[in-house]
Amino acid sequence: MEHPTYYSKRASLTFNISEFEVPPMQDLLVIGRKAPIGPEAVKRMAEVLSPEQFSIIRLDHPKVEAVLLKKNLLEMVDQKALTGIILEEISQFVNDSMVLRGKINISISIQREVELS
Amino acid sequence: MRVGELMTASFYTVSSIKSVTYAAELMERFKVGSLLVVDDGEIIGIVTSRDIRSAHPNRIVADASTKDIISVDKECFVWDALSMMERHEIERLAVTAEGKITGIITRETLRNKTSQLLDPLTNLYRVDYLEYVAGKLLRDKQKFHLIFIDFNQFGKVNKDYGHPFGNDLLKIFSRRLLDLKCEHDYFCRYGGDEFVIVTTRDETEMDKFLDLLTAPIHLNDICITLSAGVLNGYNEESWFEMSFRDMLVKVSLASTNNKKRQVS
Repeated sequence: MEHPTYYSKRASLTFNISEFEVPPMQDLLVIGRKAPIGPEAVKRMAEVLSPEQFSIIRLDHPKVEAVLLKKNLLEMVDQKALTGIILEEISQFVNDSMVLRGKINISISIQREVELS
Repeated sequence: MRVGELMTASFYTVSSIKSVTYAAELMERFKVGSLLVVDDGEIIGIVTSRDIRSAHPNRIVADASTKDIISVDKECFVWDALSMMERHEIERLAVTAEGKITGIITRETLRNKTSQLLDPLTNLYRVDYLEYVAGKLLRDKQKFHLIFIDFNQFGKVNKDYGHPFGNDLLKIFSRRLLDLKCEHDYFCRYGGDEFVIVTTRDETEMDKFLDLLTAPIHLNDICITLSAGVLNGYNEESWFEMSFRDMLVKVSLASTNNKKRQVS
């Protein structure tokens, strides 16, 4: 006598939800020369998500094609100096296919002297 | 020979927001090597197969294309267009008419065409090239010497020794031209046993240069002499009013007269 075979297929779903940060980039994006997204696309994305808040700076660098920087930072620190520091700090680990996100905090310290009367 | 005669008048376009992959598919579908990048009806760049090869497939066309399109007017001479492409190391040029892009020309097309303008026997350019050179010099208000050289008794040599022998003489003479060539010289085989030279060499060099050009050719104990006509642009008052055709008439007649003097 044959016994009927019972079997079933089930799929389980895992559902993770988190808040989408706007903008998805913080203060800085570094775009490698062979990255899957280029400077023009990044510029357009930033302009759509955070109008007038970011600047794209194209660079003459073997691995890094451009950096996207928050305009506030550029009002506080000279562009050339800032990009110079960024490139110097990332040059050891960056490769040309990367897109790196970064946060930059600028704190200003002031010390002044006045004559005692 | 102008670029407008050789350009491809139909060209395909792509929007700058499309992916590099999409652009590659379009190129494959239409069997073209470049697409003009058009946004809101305005041409903003060009994307070529070379750009596609070097860009990540996920990038948008705006990040793979060349923004500053290098273009030439359709009236531009093929040699000028070719030298522009070689200087910029590009494979395609946009062709314009009245400032608007009307076509595309490839370096391969220009190279093929200019090589077709070479005479297969002597490997010298045909007269179209010299017409272009002379025209350019005249437009630049630069004077030059025009020299017309032909062989004496060439018909008789062909009859007495055979046409292959005559061809050998032509090859020897064209090798002589190429050996003497400096940056100031432009040569062509005008036809048969006739050669035309445009040179911007200094006048002080001309006598020696002519002597070297017209030295008799010796082959298999046969000696053949040459006649030359020279038109000196530095002495011609109405030089810039003359067309290249007028100059050729004058210089070829001068060569014929010299030949008559040599024979009599």
